[in-house]
Amino acid sequence: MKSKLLIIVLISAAALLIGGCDKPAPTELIDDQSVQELVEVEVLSKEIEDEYYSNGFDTTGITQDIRNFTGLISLTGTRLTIKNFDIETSTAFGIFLDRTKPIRNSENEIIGFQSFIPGQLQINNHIARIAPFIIRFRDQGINRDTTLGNHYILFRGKGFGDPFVFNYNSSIEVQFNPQPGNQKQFTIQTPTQVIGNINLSKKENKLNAVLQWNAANSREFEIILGAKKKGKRNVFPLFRIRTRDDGLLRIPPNLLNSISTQNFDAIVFSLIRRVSKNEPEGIQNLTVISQSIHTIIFDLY
Amino acid sequence: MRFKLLLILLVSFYLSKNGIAQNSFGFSGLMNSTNNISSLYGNYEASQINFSQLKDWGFSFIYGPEFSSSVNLNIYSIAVEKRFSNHILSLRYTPGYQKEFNFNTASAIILSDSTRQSLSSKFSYKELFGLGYYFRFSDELQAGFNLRYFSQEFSREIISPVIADTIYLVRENQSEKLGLWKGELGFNYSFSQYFSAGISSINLFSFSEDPFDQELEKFKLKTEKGVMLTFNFSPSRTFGLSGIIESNKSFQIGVNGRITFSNSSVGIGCSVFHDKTQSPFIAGVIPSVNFSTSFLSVSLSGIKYFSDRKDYFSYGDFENNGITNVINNPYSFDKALLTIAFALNTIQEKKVEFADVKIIEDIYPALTENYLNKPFAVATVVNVSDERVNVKPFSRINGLSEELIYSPIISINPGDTATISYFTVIPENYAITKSEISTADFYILTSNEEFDDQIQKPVLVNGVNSWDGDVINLKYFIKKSFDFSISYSKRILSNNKTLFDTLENRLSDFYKTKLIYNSFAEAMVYVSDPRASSEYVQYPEETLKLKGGDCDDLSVCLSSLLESVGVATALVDYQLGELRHVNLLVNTKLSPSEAGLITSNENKYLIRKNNLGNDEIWIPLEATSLKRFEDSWQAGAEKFNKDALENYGLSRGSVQIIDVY
Repeated sequence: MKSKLLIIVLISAAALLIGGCDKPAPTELIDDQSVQELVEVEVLSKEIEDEYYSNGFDTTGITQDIRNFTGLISLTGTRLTIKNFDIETSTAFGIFLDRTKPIRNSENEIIGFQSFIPGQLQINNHIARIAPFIIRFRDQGINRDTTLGNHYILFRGKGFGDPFVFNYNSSIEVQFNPQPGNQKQFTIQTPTQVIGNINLSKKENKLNAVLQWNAANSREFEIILGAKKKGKRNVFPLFRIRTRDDGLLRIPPNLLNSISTQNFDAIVFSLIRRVSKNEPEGIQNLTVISQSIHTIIFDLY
Repeated sequence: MRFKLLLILLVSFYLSKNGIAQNSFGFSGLMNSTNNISSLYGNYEASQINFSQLKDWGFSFIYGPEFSSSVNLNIYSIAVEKRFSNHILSLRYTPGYQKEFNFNTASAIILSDSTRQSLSSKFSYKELFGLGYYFRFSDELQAGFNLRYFSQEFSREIISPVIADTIYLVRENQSEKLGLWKGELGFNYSFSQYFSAGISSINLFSFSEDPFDQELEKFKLKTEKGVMLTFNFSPSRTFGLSGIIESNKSFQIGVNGRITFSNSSVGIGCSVFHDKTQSPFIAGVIPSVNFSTSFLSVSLSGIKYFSDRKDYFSYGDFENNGITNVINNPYSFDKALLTIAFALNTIQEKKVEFADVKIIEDIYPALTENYLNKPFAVATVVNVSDERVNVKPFSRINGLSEELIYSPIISINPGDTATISYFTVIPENYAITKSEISTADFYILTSNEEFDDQIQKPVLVNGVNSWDGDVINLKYFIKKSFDFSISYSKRILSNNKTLFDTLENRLSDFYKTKLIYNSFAEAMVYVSDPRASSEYVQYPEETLKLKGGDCDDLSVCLSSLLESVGVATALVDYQLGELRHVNLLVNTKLSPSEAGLITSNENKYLIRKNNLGNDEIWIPLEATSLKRFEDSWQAGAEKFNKDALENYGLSRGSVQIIDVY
């Protein structure tokens, strides 16, 4: 009797084992309180030799791909920290592109559009200078420089240069006199200056970076992770990281550790707090931005 | 012991400051608190001592559906337990003790066309297996210890850049698996058959690996320490009340009832629980029904949570609180469970046991059939099972016989005590003359397999000539070596064939007696016992060969010689203070009217009724006089008249007549 029951039990158990191969249902978690650390990563330079965007780590529009704009006025207060030494600059940059006149490389890819000067641009009553806009791009393995045309520029650094000063947490008055056309005048708010600090550590040969900055909960905040090629001055902006302006970000270690010391000798973090304005005063196809950039450079050892 | 319990209580009070979730949660609720096989559920959560009912091997598994937005069938656990005397080892494999969380992280890759590719994560908590150990200090105090191994796997998609000639981002799966060992210790004390209480640790110790990514530390299973107190109150076999309270004030309480049939029982129970990490206050209910036999238990139970168990929950809550319990947490779903436990006894289960065994009589091998009706030992036996059992007692006296001697079977009700008599059989060829202290093995058996209990007692086995002093038992000596007596007596009678040819038949027994006595008396001398003990009796054959003996020996021998030729005899036991004497009465089979044929003296005979109610003439003989028959008769008659009649020996009981047959 017992042995028969045992057999029945064992057979039942085996049948259940075979039939019961499910596993308990998972629970989905939703981030309804936005408590997770927001990290959106975008590749900026697809070609490692392409210097199209890298017109200087301390200049305006460091990561603005002007191919996306028809008209752009970029007002930037920059703080550069390198080896505990800070440099502050102010830049006003303006460019208008004729999107009917693309400039292509030898593979017929658009690398830009011809620029033009539609009139006079004044920033805080300072007339912007007109200068050639030169880009560098990689073509058939060779770095080439080309001029797209002219652009507007005001630059002041180390107490020298143009009289334009970027005042943070304030506003900047922009006056545009198109030829022909009526004068347009508008103001744009400037953000609170972003001042960051980076705690860089190494554990088991892996780099870890925790960024802290003065949180302002601004709507547009991003961090550009770039690197400086060995033996060269120019910085490649590699990745754009969009995150909340909450004062703290742990850089995904994989991004950091992908920057090889074989190719690069410095790592660059640019914290950017930005205010944007589209089509001010009804000026079509014009985008105006004011931004605070704090760029911190660390040597890779 | 009290000090230790006090110490544990103090520790529990200290630990109660820590907040912990309900750790005592088990799939079977508190149904297993009743004393039946359902205790084999392998429930490490509610108690560390829940295998106490196990006799030998135990197997159990829990299977059932879980009700989320879909229905998933799971095998929750498979457990095996084995008892070794007071120790029990158990092993539990828990494939269904797991909880998985899926979520999309806030991290994403922005592609070149500005589309967003989110990264997902999967956190998985599993209890893989457990090892349990139970020890029974006494009927009242038991202790249990278990060790459980958990696996925590944190699998996350991460952004992985590839920097070669071109730069691009890929999603890469990064996984960290952390092991966790948890150990618990518990004690249970039965204050009476109705009430028991226990104390068990919660996370007495835990060893966990540290994650490489410190961010994951907060997602590890919480292992705050605590204690739980348990109680079980069963005022009857049909009703029980159980409860568990944890040091963070989480608790579980259950009632159960049970109807017992002859070989099975049906139980119904219901537990409710309050878990500090869950809402509402009574977080859920665990109803269960159970059918049990002595070796099989089938239970159907369910877990119903009173809060809404959605398929999705807040990541923020999960991040802040984590989970403590894999199978019972705010994210657990309702379940139905089938639990089957099976007990396999390869060793005989003890149903009865000796309370005591008393040797009531030393063994006198000469008394042979005496032991067929008269026990030499009595035992007190207790039925420790929960069923009526038939007990087959048997014994063996070492040195007397190799055979097992069975006593009559008796039935004992559950929990009852009975007295069992043990008998023995003296082998016919037993011939050891020396008395010695031997041992007797006593057994009780309730099945056809091994005995339930055994006990050994010392017993005095006397020599074959030893006599217990009871004259009635001299007949066993008389009957021994009857063939020799027949041969001896017939030889005497045949030598006097002429006499018997001419003798009236009615005087036959009288003259047989006279001839045999005279022949006997001529050959014999009176000799005291060789050991100066009255308890040494020679067999007739020995007496005739030795040509002498004391009153016992001579009376036994003469009786044997007469009985062997059909002359009925009786022993007369004179017990006069410290003095004791035995002689004979011989049945002449003459009627009182025929008394004159042998004597004219009425004082030389007595009249006794035979089985038919007829009066017969009996004459006393003093076997020790060893003179002529008439002298012996005279001596016997005088002694009988004086001690048995004149001194009222027969009335007072100091003189007894014992018929040999």
